[in-house]
Amino acid sequence: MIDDSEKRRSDDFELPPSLRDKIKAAHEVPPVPPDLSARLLASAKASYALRLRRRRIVRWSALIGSAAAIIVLSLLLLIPNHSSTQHLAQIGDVNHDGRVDILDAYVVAKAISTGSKLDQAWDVNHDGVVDQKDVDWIAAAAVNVTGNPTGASPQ
Amino acid sequence: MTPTDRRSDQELVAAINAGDLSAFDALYDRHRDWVARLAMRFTGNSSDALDVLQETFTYLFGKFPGFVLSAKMTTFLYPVVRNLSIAARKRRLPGLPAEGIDAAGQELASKDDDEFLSMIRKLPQIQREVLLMRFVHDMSLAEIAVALGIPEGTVKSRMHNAIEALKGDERLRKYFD
Repeated sequence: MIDDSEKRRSDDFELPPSLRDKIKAAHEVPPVPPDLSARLLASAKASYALRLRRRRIVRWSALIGSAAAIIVLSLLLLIPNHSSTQHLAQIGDVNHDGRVDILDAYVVAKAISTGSKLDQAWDVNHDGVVDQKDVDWIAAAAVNVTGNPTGASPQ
Repeated sequence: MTPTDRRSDQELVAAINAGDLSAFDALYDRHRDWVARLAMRFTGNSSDALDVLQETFTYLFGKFPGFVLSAKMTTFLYPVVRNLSIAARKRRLPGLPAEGIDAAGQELASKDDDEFLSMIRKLPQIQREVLLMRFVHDMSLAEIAVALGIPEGTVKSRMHNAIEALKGDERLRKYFD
């Protein structure tokens, strides 16, 4: 325990130069062999270069993985979602109002009855002709919430 | 040996982290002899000292990239050398206690300095340690405190007591006259 302020003066922590030199000389060591130093440094550098390479590989892999994930996510968000309902809506959506309803069936029915020009796209049952069967198919699809016309599936 | 590199230890560490392998050489050349001298003091023989030297630098260089030097390099290396030297001594002499490690130059026993070293060895180990860290390994009192994990005031106290003990030894009086 320090109870004398004199002890704290740095002058107390000096040794006479001759004694200091003697202490130091008593602890001198032979020089380190140069070949040992060369081997040690070569090994350290090789290990370090290997660690650097591995870090770069890991970093690039992470970047590529992240980029791939972003691309896949973007594609999933951008590609339109074609549900079965939308598909059938396109099939029977004669008036292109975005849904299949009785109005679509009326358009086809009226065209048939007045002898107007018939659009082949109205051949929803794919039997080669636009006729009452197609009107019935569209009407059935219009009233069915699942989009599957009961008893009026395309042949 | 590489030409003297004027960069500080911090700058050399940063250079190595940035991929400059030549900075390894500069850092090694700067601290090689210090580590060797410390390892020799702890192990007491040159063979073990060289092993400790290699293990010390292998340990240091293995921390790159990413190593952060938050103190002086000698302060960082001191406990590394000490612990590796303890391990080396245990391998050579399994029954030797780890505490109080200080071979104080066993290989120098045949030299004329043996009597002188015996006077140094008479000091209590905690005083001898700070004395040699200061005057053999050129560490400042602050560095010694950090390396040993003790307050600087304790370092000063031990240093003062060590020097007073040397002054009180009749065989060393001639140095103080």
